[in-house]
Amino acid sequence: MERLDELMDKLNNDRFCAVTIFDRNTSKPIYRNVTHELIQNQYGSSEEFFEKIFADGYKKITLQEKRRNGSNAFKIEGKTFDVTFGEAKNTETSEPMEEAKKKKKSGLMGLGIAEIFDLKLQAHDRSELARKLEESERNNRELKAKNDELNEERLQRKYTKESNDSLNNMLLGAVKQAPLILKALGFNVPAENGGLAIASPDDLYDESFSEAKKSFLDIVQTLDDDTITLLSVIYQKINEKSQENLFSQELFGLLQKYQMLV
Amino acid sequence: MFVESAFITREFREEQIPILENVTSLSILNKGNSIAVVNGLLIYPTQKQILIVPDGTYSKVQLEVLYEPDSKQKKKVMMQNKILLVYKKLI
Repeated sequence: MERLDELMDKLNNDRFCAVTIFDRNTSKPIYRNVTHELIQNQYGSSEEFFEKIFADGYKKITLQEKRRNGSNAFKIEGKTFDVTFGEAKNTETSEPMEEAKKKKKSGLMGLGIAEIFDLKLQAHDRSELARKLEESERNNRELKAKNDELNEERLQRKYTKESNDSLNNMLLGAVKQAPLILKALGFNVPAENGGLAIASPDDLYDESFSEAKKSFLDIVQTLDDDTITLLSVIYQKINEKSQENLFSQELFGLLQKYQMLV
Repeated sequence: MFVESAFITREFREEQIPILENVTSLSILNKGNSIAVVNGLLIYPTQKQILIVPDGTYSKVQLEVLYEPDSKQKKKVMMQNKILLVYKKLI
């Protein structure tokens, strides 16, 4: 609006000023390079010139100010601007400005009730979710602690099993060392182990065994069947290949306690 | 003479809802898995409905809620009746 007034003033007073007018509906020029001189001669004033354009039915126009440069040449002066004529000529307004105003106005309206309700619901959800998160975190911590505990237990079991295996082997070794144990138990056992002797056909039973075995057999001869059964049961138990041979462990502990292992 | 207004968010699981005074606007969200019938209006699970729009007036509100099983839900799932009221009232 201001620019249009300014341009009209120039067209009335500045003899080098000219204007080119485009129709925005068709994007075609209506008038090209209309000069101050032409307006003064044909229309009397620039106001009347624009009145005529409006009367011709052009309501949406774009104006480009020109400047006469020599006798027939014109150069562009400034940027183009849009003018929209209303019912009266003086109610022209620039359309982009109107749009901007509308946008600004809607931005100032604030939130609608639906949006406020949504925000309130979100706020309510937030507190609930925060509580749930806290709960989950606590659970997570508890489960982690439990998991660590179980892991520890598992490792403990694993190592106990390994030590059990080695314990079993040791006990079997200890059985081989029976004379020492038996000696400690108070039985009469030969002090030296004769090792393997060459068996003679006549004395196969006695000669094929080591001294330890012979002495053990001597003992066996003196024992009754119940005691033999007990000893064989003990031997079987020691020899048992189960994962956790508690009997072996305890027996080993017992033997250690009474210092029967050398 | 009312000085100000406040938004209130309350959760209800029962059918009897106390009478709300000086309410200027009210919205209901169904948080359960059953259909809530509020004063004859069906509100499906997770759906929200504005019952009173702010128009400059305030009123006393009595809500009657009935819960109906939702046929879309699996039958094995236990029925959960829960609605959330958000309303603005004059204080």
